[in-house]
Amino acid sequence: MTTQETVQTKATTSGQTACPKRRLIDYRGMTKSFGGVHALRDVSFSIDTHEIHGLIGENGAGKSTLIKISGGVYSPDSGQMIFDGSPAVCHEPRDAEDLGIQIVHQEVPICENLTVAENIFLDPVPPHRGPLLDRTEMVRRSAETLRRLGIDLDPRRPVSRCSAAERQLILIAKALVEEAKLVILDEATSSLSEDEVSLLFGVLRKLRSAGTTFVFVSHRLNEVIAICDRITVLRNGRFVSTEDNFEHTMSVSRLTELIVGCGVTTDAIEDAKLAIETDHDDSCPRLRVCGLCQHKLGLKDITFDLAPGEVLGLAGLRGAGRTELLECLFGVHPPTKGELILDGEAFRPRTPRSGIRRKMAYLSESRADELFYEQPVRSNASAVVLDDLATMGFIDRRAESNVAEECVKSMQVSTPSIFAKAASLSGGNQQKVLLGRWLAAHPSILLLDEPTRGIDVGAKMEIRRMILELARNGVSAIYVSLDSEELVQVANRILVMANGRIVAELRGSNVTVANVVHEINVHQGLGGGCTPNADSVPVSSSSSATRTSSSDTPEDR
Amino acid sequence: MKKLIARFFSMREAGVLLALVVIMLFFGFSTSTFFTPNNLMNVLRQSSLLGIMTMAVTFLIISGEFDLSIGSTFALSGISAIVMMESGMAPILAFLIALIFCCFIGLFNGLVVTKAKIPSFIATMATMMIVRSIVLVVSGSRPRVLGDRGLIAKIMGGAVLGDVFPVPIIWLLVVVFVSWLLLSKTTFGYKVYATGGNIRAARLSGINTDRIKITNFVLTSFAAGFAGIVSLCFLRMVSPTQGAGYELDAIASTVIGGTALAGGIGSIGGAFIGSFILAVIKNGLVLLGTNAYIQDAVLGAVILVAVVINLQVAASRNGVRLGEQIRRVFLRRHQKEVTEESDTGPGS
Repeated sequence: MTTQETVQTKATTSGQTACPKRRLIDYRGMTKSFGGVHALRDVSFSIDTHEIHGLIGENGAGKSTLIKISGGVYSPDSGQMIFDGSPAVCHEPRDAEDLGIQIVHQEVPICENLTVAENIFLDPVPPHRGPLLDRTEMVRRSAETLRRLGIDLDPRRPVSRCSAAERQLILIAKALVEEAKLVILDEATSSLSEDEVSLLFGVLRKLRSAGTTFVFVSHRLNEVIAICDRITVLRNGRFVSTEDNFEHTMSVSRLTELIVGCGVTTDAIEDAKLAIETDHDDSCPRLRVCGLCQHKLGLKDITFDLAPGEVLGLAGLRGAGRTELLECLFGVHPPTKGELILDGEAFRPRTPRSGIRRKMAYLSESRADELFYEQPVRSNASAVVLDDLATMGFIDRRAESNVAEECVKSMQVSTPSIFAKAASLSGGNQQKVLLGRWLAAHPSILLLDEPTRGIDVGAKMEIRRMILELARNGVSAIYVSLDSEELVQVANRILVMANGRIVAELRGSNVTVANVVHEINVHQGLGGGCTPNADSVPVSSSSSATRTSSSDTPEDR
Repeated sequence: MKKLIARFFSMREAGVLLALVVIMLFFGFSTSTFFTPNNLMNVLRQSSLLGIMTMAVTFLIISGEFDLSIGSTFALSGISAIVMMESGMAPILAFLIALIFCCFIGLFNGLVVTKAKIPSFIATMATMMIVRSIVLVVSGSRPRVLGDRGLIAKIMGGAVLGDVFPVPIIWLLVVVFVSWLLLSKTTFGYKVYATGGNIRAARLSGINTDRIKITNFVLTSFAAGFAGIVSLCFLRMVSPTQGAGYELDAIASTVIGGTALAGGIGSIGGAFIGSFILAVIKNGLVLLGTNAYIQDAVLGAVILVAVVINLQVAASRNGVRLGEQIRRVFLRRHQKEVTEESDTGPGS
């Protein structure tokens, strides 16, 4: 009870709230196991009204289990959930919704073919007169909810024309139409850019003062610190602590420590990066890209070099062309114009096979696009090298197992065995298997698209360290991330993209978060204009930027 | 003993095997003739044609496609072979050419589905009607009799080994064995699973998914043609309307056998047992003296029950609820593609 009191005094002294706080939800000894695996072990903590409560931990720490129990998807083996003063028993999602608990899931369950209003009323019973749908009322109530959120969005607009952030907001609006007391946001920002995140946070703060309580689940610790009033950390299904963060000044390293216990630290990554940064060889690039264009993907005049053992960062907003560039290089969508020189030989990517043959590896943006969920870890690990493991088409199972064991060992995948289904692994471990799959082919160029997205801090750090380790052994990497900090942490050089072009290059001491964010914002503003004049500005700036980059390199002929 | 039971239920085919045992026990107790060796051999023989086709259809469905044209292809191979033989061609040549015709049907299906991107349900429905029409025209819509065509006709289906084993059963066992080898031991089989399980991932891993699908369409049509010739040689006749409905029987067998209609999941063992279940039920209902008109109703109900038992066993094996298992097997598991495409849409 004493902690509760201190929380209250702190809250009032910091002037965060006008109304008195009370306990909204109280978890007491929550325990849940799945077939012998403890997902939650005796977890107890509480969440107050008028707060944004962070819930963090590695994948498999028990966050999603706790969320699902709160939402009535699972029932706990033991323990109790006290909601608003009385014990809550949720047997199915409907029960939780009736109590006023809404969950906004990571995967956006949204119908592309419907309008904003229709999506908002997809789950709550839409307004109707008899059997007829009352569209006017539906639009009116949607507009009212959106206004309450402070979002300028026409309810009659088709969702297919909304941005990722708007979709996320629509889901929150959906939760609020039902008068939710508690809204649980599960990785709500994982697909949003920095601007979109701050838009979302503005809305959350507004709603908090209006009396809605939020649980914010995220792997992005900076965001958690920026938005949450208190933060609860889980590890291995156990409660670690609830930290006060009313001033939003908690340090990332402190949180990381709590989450991981012990593991790879940022220092270790910096060391790994330093080890490769010094001995760089610019004289013969591994890959030279000259005037690459891809009309359908909107890539225009891309020119850059990639040195052996270099980690090249690729920054830019969603839709700037980063993913498209990687897919073009790998052969998913062949380039329409331009020249590629790989290890001194011309290279024409036509299908992913051509990329693989030339020792490229492409880790795509979403795991869902790469993983064979129903297959065991072994098959997932051997997918790329399978043809080499077979004689006359018959797979050498022992060789395949060796590849998989090697992958599990070197990537430190935690899995019961190589025969476990990929779907049963946590996100971080799935990602490690995918990286291991490509490493089994001993690639010389890694094309990495958001390699650490949606996985926990510990695994993030490990994967970054592994990539730097590979770079030290001469493997080149192109590293795409929305998170500027991550890029700065791993990359020696960063290219900034906007509207399908490379608009800036940062190298050496210019590789800082501030510079990356600045470049992105400058060029985004220009690209957003629709007059032809405004569009021509980044063209000139891009060509000048690429020119400086090539004059920087001594091998320029 | 407990361990043995646990091991049994960890098998992929446990559910369908259980369903088979239950059904066989039912007919065993309710009729006096079901469990005689003669009758069981008969059931196996009856399941052989469907079984041969089911094996190939399993490949196709695991790779994420359908084929509704196998019934027509089945009839085409028999009719075309007999028409060619009647015009004086050597039987072995006639069989070979008939099979090549069938392969072309599969190739056509495969190209239409993968290159023109027409959903296989529609594409193969069209082929089904076109091929059936060709069969009716070529045959003059009357049934044909094989006549005496020598050794090759005996090998293909006419003979009965040691007066016990009809040759179709041998062919079935050969096809099952080869299919099992192909699906579970070779890179091709692996690529079939990968293509159906997650097509984008398969492509990114360097698998030529179009080629895999086309190969499966050709395999399916070939199997249908092969079954057509075995049937011709066994029955010593063929009618132009033969094979209608086989496509649904084959799909039903694979589904009973635990193959996911969405692709990526399934096994040869399961599909084999599935086709056997269909034969057992048809046979058992006849032994029971059921009214022929209600047989289909019983068959439909049993398919439903068998699939539910199968799903329940799979659900408990995976530690999920029945509903979740149904979702996994029958619904598209990854809707990512849709959202991603539209994400890049407004940006460009």
